[in-house]
Amino acid sequence: MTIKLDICCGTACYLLGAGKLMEMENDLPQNWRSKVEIRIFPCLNLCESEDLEGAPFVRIDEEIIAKATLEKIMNRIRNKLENEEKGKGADHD
Amino acid sequence: MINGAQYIRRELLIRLVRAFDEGILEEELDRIPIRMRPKDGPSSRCCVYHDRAVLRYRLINLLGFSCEEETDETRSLASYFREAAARTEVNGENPLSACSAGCSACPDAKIMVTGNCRGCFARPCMYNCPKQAIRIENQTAAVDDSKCVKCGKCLAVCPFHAIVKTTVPCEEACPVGAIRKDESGKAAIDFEKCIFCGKCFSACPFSAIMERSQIIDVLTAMKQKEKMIALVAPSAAAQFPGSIEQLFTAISKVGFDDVCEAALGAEKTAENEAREFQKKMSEKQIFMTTSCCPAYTELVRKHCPDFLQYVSTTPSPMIFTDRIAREKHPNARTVFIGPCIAKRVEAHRNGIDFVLSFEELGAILAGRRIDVIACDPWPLPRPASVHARNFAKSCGVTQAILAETDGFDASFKLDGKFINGIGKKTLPLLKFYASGKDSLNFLEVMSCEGGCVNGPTSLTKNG
Repeated sequence: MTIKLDICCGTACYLLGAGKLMEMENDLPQNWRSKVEIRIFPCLNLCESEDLEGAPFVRIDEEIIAKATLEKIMNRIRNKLENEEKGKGADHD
Repeated sequence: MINGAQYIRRELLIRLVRAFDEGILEEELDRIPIRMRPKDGPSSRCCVYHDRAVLRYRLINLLGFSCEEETDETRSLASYFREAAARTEVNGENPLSACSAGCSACPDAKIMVTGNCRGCFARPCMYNCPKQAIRIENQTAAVDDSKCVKCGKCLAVCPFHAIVKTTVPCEEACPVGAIRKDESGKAAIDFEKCIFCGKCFSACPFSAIMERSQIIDVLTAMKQKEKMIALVAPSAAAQFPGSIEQLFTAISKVGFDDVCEAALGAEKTAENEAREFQKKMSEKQIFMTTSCCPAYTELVRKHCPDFLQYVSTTPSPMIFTDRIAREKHPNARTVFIGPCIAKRVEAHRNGIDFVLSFEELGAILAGRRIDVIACDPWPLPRPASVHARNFAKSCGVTQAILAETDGFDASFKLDGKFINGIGKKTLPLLKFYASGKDSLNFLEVMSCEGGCVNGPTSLTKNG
């Protein structure tokens, strides 16, 4: 299962920091690249439902991350990958 | 990555635009600082109340006023807004303002020895100090402030990185000594000296140097259905995700009746400046400098007026583009959109109605929910030449002029030098060039290192 990382590059998110996140493919470790699919979206409308304060927003699978930073995103992905590994281990036992 | 100061500035701008469009800005303004820093919430400074006070000053500047001209501390933001919405003339001079409530009153620059000092035997700090300002006391180095000239040689030679230099970032960044401190140690701008380069604005980690915006004037003129023409700086490429043509469509959707590429004016600048260069050389002038950077021309005007004779008199790309736009739309109001603070002053002095920064344009796009990458490409009448589009990069002006002088008589060979970023050493360098001791005959000066693309309000500049 690939992890879907959706980056909002609507103008509000872009202004408030998504510009750098859009280039984050280069920051992913080599062995993650086949496991993470980065998709860039125009406004995901999250700044409408949530407070503006939360921008920039990203979505990892169905989960919304507000005030997204490279660090936050990487941690969440690492978490998910580790959980997946554990899940696989359990299957083999 | 953007930094906290940019974040706050942009968030405020977007809130301002959204509230303006909803027609509730007047009531909302005085609530914005409280909404952004509710009690019991996190604060950026000592407490939410200090944060709110500084946010209030930020809003005063966004409404086009300055901290310095505040006479009544009790005046509401709503009242400032009413004045801003009713004015017909924008603030054209002094586009910067120092906010004493936001200023941290940084201690004077100083060389200090930290606990990392091991009181070594070689003592390179002591031996390399040109002023004998370092002595060893109790097995550790100590600096005599009365002798120290803060040259930093000791920092460079210490193998333990035990010596540090603290600075006053705004003072350090200002190339002309226009920052002074008031009695309480807070920064103040000396407008007799200020060249509007915006280096203090970018350097202050407390973001206490603020830019006086014209965003309310632009939004109000649009609301009053004035015919509005955007003149977009060449540095606009790569400011937003999407192509320059998509950006132009986005700008038109904001409420501009036409969008003009300022690179078209840059073509005219290059053409005219090349001709002027040829003329000056035939008149045996020793050299000529560019004139399109307004912080540089202000530097010459205020700090070395004798040098003015060498500065090209060719109008800047912005001014030429304004002429092109006005020919097509005689009764329109023109808005220059760029990354530069000094352009606000140049625009005002040359009849361009308003200036928006890329940050402010971004806030209007975000406020009006326009995504550049979702826009169709704008049908440019014709794309400007590559040379003209490169005007915004360091060396770009010289290259454009070189291309123009290609067909000229070989005796007019251009021998150029660049000042890529104005600093404290620029003034003495200009004086050296004026002495004629160097062989150059052409000098390009850009206040921002790398060119306008790294302007103080550029969105792609690193925080």
